Amino acid sequence: MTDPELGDMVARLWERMRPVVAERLHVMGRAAEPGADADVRAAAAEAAHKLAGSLGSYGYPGGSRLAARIEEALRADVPGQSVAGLVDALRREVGLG
Amino acid sequence: MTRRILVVDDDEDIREIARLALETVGGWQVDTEPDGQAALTRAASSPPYDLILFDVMMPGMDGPTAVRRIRADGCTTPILFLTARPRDDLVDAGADGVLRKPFDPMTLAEEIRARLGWPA
Repeated sequence: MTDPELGDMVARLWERMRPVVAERLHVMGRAAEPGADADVRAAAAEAAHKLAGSLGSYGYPGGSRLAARIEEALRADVPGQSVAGLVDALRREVGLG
Repeated sequence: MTRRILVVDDDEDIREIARLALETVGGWQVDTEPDGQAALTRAASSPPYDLILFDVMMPGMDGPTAVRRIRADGCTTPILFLTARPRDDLVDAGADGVLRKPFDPMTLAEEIRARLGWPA
């Protein structure tokens, strides 16, 4: 097993997992909208936690860091507008913007 | 002898990339479960696993609770937590150590070997 071979396998797995990531980004985007309630923000924090733990393994360490910041922001009740900016940045980081 | 690893994580993307890393780089046989409750049955299976990798935050039974139950049942299989948020109390639950998420698929098997003293 060489780096390029594993890299190709990880890339194929990433293509399979993109819909899962896109759905989590959608959940996080909803939490950034005005009037998002506590349940929506909690679900979004959970989604951000999952992405923080996985994106780096797929070659997006910056995505993991952004997701961790979003999780912290959501759990700290940071205003939605600030969260929205981070979610947009995360979308661009992983090529789903 | 091929080592058998059980990966317990509610995230499909983590289960799959861990499987990929451990099977292709480590050359090990990997089974997966999505929650702590399901892991209890697997952990008690025979022959025993050589390692169980546990997520911490999972719906239903979380990782630390499942590890305490597994240890209470007398299982001595090495257990490592795999988490984005390491905490001091995780080893108190009965695990043998903590690995960080996100992990590098190329080096995860080596990290495990080093942590458990397994030969390359």
